Amino acid sequence: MQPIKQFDVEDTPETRKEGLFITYKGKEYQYNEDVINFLCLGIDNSTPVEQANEIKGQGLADAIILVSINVESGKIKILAVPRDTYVPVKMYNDQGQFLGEKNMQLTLQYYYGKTAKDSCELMVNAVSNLLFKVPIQRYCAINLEAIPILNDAIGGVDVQVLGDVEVGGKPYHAGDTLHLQGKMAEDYIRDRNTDQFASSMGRLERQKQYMTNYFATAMAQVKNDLTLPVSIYQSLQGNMYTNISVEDITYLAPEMLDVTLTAEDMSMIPGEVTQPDEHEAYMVNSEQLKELVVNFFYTEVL
Amino acid sequence: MDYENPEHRRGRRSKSSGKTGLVVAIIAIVVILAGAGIGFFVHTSNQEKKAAAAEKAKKADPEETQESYEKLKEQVAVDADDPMFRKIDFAAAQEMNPDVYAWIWIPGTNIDYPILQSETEDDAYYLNHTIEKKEGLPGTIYTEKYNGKEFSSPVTVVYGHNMKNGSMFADLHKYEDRAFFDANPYVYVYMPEKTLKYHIFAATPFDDRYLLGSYNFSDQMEFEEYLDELRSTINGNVNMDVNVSLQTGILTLSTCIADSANERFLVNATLEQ
Repeated sequence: MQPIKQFDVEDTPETRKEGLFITYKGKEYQYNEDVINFLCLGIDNSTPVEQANEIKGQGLADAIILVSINVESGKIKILAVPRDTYVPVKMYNDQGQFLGEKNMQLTLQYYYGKTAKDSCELMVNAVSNLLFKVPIQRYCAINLEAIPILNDAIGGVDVQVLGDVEVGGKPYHAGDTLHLQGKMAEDYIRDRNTDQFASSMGRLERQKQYMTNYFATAMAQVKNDLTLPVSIYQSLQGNMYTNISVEDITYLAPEMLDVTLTAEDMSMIPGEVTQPDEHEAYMVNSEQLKELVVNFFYTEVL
Repeated sequence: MDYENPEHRRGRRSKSSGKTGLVVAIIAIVVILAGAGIGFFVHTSNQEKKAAAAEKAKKADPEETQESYEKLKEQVAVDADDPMFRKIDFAAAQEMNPDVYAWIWIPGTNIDYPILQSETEDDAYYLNHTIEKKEGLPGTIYTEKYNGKEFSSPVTVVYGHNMKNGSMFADLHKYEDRAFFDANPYVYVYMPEKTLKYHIFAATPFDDRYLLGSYNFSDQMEFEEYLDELRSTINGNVNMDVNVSLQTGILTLSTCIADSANERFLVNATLEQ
């Protein structure tokens, strides 16, 4: 794989002007080449992801988050993609033969990969298509086993509970303070009352909160121990499938020492929850998404 | 001066006859040449007018061509309540030009033209030749030999000029407007044996790549890649509810964009199931 810094957009005619350009509402915009996009997937499948390589049925992508790191300014932005986002999902059979596509929940796209690599690449493609072909340079899929490992590697994470949630078999309510350790972290970010309409949205809020707090705690730790990102990376082996290399991490970690992550840096794909059949679907507001993508990834050419 | 009678001149003014005679001869020659010249010029001018008129008859004129199309339409198209049952008299249309093999109609637009494909000339011939085989704009609506004449390729590209007078494929640009895009979703392609109904799913500016040479559309994955690119446009209109597959294929209608030479405006439709 190429070193991360040399990531280029493909040599298509749009990029002939040395860069990726778009026209939107009569104005020209350029993709910010300093931004590297990481697609982070939380996979609902407790088998180790590397073993799952050999197994049909990769599981579902329950958490879908695009992390954009600007290596020049050191700024991070996070775009949450609801798992039920309705997109054209490409379907494959067990032999990896293409069966066609159908508008379905994005989470299902992960299932149609023959290997974890296929699944990740299908997700990258689907999310890139959703975001009007924004380039996604790296991906990382972790399974549920990875959550306590990640959580405990930085000594646990404190949260102030946002709404009713069950953690470790006990109910908690808005305003309660919790120090999440081990499996508690998984409970906190996964608990969902499926009887309740749009319950995955409340969960998404908890996931955003957990990420913000995790990030703040992790940054404080990394300042004391620069090798922490690499050791976390290594501790995830077996529960993670990624095309991020150790070299990428050692390149990025020092760039990000002063980065802060606040709620304002986090956005969600605009849209609304509907229920076309027994499953919920998240219908994207395409015009609002265009605005968001232009503001998020592009700079106007003056 | 009595220069009509050289005998006389020589006799009476023998002394000066040489000099005067020379002047006279020169004047005579000049006059004759001038006369001949004028005559020649007048003659040439008439020839040029004739040639120019003949040339003009060969050169295309967008307005005249549009009139010919209107006449042709009256002559060969029999409308019906349902566009699927509209009839085109192809035998009559082919009398105008045997390369006519299909007809395209997009209700709600001015696009209602025969589609041509040259048997003998280069594919680009009809970019620059009218249905009457006159050279120049507006050309014709045409397809390339690579696509055959059955509309059965995974991707069929139909070309037409973006004419200032609103003819040919100029009206494709109406699909830049979302409300128009939503209200006028169908394209009909008539052939002697059948009529095809297409559903528009994406109208978008696209780079000027030669599409049929840039993708191998019979490869499922390349077809999907093209489809994804068309639908992931930030600057166009897309209807994600239209299912598109290799089986239903893509009909790409391609025209120019006035102030953007490196781009094309593509309206894309797929066979209605």
